[in-house]
Amino acid sequence: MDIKENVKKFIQSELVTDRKFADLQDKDPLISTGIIDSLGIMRLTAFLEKSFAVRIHDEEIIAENFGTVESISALIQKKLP
Amino acid sequence: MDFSWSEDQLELKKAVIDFAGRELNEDVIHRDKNCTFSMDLWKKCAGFGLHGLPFPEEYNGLGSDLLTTMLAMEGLGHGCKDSGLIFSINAQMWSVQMPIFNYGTAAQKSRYLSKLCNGEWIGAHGMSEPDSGSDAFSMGTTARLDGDHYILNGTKTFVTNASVADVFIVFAVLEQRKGFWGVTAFILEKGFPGFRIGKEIEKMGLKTAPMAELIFEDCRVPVENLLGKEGNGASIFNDSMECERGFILASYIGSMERQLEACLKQAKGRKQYRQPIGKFQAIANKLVDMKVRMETARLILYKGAWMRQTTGKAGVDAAIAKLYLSESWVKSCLDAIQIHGGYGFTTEYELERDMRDSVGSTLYSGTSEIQKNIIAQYLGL
Ligand SMILES: Cc1cc2nc3c(=O)[nH]c(=O)nc-3n(C[C@H](O)[C@H](O)[C@H](O)COP(=O)(O)OP(=O)(O)OC[C@H]3O[C@@H](n4cnc5c(N)ncnc54)[C@H](O)[C@@H]3O)c2cc1C
Repeated sequence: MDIKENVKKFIQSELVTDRKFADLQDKDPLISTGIIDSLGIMRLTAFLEKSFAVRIHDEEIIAENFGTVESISALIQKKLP
Repeated sequence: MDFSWSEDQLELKKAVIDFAGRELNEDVIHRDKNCTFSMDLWKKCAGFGLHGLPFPEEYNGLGSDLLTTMLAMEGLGHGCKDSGLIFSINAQMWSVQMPIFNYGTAAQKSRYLSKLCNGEWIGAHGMSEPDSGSDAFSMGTTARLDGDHYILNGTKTFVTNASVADVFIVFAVLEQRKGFWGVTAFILEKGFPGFRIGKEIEKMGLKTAPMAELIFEDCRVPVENLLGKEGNGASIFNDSMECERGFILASYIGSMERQLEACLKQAKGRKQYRQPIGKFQAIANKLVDMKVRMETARLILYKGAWMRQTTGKAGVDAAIAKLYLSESWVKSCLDAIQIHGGYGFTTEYELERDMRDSVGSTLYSGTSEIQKNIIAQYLGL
C-alpha cells in the first residue's frame, strides 16, 4: 500500500468520527474540518513514526504539513531514504 | 535500562544535599507565613549551578545529562525544606529554559539562556488563562503581525514567578488561524510596551513561589522574539509539557525520603502504651506504604528520564511519572502528619507546610485527571 493510502486508512479508521468524511480525498482539508485536532495529531504522528520508521520533529508539526492527506504524504516521502 | 550511578554522580547528589541543608532552610517557616520569595536563595542556588544543570557550559550550564540532573534535583528535595523555592527553580528550568534551549535561535539562547542559568534573570511561563486551563489550546490571547512586531492581547493566569520574572514564554493564537494550529510561542521581556503584571495570587501552599497574572494590552513583541515558527506553539508547548510532566517533580523523591527518615525517627522514639509507636502495625504499615511509594516513584522517574535521554521522548512514562509522583507525595505528607499525631499538625514540625505545598503538584503541569486521559490515549482508548 502506498503512503497516501496508509495515511488515509489510519485517519479514516482512527480519527474520523463524522460519517460525512467517510470518503476522504487526498486534498480534503483535515484541519478546518476538525478531523485532526490537538489529540488527533499526537496519535497521527505516533502512527507515522512507527509505520514509516521516520522521526517527525516538533518544528514540522504545523498546518502546512498536516492540512491534507497529500501534504502529510509529501512530508513522509521527503523523509524516506 | 541501566540506572547504576557513578561515584561522581553520587558525589554530586551528596554535595547538593549538603549545600541545600546548610544554605536554604533558614527562616522557611517565616518566609512561608509572609509569602516571601528569596532572591538571595535564588542566587545561591544558581551560584551552585542548579539552574543550569542540564544545559551546556557555553550558556553557563553544568552540562549534566538528564539522569544526573534528576539525581541532583532529588538531592535538592532531600536537603531543602522550602518546596516553593524548589518549585520556582523547576518551573523555570523545564518550562522556560528547556524550550528556549530546544527551539530558540542562537541569538535567543545567548541572550536569555545564559542569564537564566546564572541566576541573573528569572523566567516564567504563561499558558493558562482565566477561561482555558486543562483545555489549554482553547486560549483567548491573540497575536497579529504588524510590520516588524507582533501585537498581543489577552490575559494569562496562575503564572509562577510572574512578579519577579524578567523573561516570559507566552503562548498566543494567531488571529487569522485560530485553535491548535495557530498557537504560537513568544519570548517577552519585562517592560515590553503594553505588557504588565497583574495582581499577586494568594494560594494554599508553595507560598514562597510567587504567582500572578500577565496582562497584554496591544503588547508589542519584536518579530525576533518569536520562539520557533508561527503555528508551532502547540508542539513547543507539548514538548515542554512532556519535560514538566516527566521531570518537574524529581525533587519530591528526595522530599519523600527526608519525610520517611523523620517518620522512622518518630516511630522509633515516640512511646505510647509503653512501646514505640512503630511497633503498632497500623503505624508500621504507613511507613511501609511511604517506602514502597517512594521507591516505585523513583523508578518511574528514572525510566522517563532514561527514555528521553536515549530516544528523545519520554512519552507515556512522563504522564505516569507525573501522576504517580504527585499523588504519592500528597499521600506521603498525610501519612507523615498522622504518624506524628498532634505534633504533625503544628507549624513547628513543618509537615503541615509540606502537605499544603504538595497539593499543587496534582494540579500544575496537567492535573491528575489529565494525566490519566493521556495514559488512556496511549492505551488506545
Ligand atoms: C501551583 C500552581 C502553579 C501553576 N503554574 C503555572 C504556570 O507557571 N503557568 C501556567 O500557564 N499555568 C500554571 N498553573 C495552572 C495549571 O496549569 C492549571 O491550574 C491546570 O492546567 C488546570 O487548569 P484549571 O486550573 O483551569 O482547571 P480546569 O481545567 O478548569 O479543571 C477543573 C477540574 O476539571 C478536571 N478536568 C478538566 N478537563 C478534564 C477532562 N478532559 N477530563 C477529566 N477531567 C477534566 C480537572 O482535572 C480539574 O479537576 C499553575 C497551577 C498551580 C496550582
